Amino acid sequence: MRFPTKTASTGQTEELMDIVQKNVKDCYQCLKCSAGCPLTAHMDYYPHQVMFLAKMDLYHKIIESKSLWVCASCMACSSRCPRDLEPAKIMEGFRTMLLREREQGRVEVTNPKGVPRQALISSMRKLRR
Amino acid sequence: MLGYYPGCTVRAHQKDNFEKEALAILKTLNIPVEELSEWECCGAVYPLTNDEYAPLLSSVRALKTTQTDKKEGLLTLCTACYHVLKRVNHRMNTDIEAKKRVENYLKNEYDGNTQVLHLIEVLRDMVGYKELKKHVDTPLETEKIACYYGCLFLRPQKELGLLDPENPKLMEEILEVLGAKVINYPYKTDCCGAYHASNQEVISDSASLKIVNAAKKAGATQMVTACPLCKHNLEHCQKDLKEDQKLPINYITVPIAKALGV
Repeated sequence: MRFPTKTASTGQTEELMDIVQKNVKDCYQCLKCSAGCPLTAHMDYYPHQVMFLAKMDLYHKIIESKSLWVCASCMACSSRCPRDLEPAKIMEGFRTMLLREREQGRVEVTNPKGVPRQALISSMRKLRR
Repeated sequence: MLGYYPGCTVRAHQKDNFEKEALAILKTLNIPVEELSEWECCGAVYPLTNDEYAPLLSSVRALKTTQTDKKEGLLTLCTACYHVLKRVNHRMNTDIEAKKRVENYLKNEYDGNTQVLHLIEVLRDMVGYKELKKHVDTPLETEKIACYYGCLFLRPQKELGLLDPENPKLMEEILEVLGAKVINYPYKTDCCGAYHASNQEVISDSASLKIVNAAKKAGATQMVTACPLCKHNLEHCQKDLKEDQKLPINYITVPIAKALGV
């Protein structure tokens, strides 16, 4: 099996570690996170696949994915992980790395008027900044 | 005396009567409640990152105001506020660095002792089922109610700890005391899609529709919830159905207020 040669730099792995403080290499792919996630139908990489890519240092694939912006942080994955790795936190870590660098996520708020304000506040905080 | 924390959305959606009914219920059951002297939005999400502290500030201010107002606890109606406030409280108690940084910024110390309570927790612990039963005016005979908890009320269990995260039963127990028949159905702890209502509606619509269809199939005549955003999502996903096929979504206070005759 041939791995692509473009892996994450030390700076990126250290930055992720600073934000999440979890050792992603502990994941043994039990798939409980993806089994419990209610929004997998809209994701291109399932939570366990995101964990695997993080483990393999293939950050560029995660950064280009849709899954980061579909996650609703419902903590179903985190409550089921047997190694306490909190996939929701890892997803948030990648989102944060992108938002701090680019200052704007890939999600547009299309419906500002008809929703309760907590939807706007939470989507601005999670997905846009 | 409990300190009441409305939350930005409950206060903005006055027409839904969530706040009015909840306060009337507590008054009937003789629980004294007074609004906090000063409060602001708790932030709507708990920041999962470990290296930033600014998102914690408004929640810590609310927790501190409860103490300076000399209240015994902080009462909240919205489950999202409950989640954020209780997790921030836990962080202040366990993470020394976060505590020091927040205290330095606010120039105020916070000892982490405020108790964060939800309305149904107060009904179970401070009122008790026996007392609740005594106040029942009209038992809810014909209603078949499905209770929806959503995600933020239950997880993570270590920090929130109020309910069993896979099979919660508190809302059902309260409604059974009031005489209603409760329906058990799958997906009652699944996320409704939350904030995707404002950007990728197809996600929140499909997640909520799955929940509503499961409740309808199990025979429910109405669904109750405690979060304004969940209520909005569960109603919005049914917008294309005919009127008689829609499942009514109500706040948890609606059947309680009806039974107590408030």
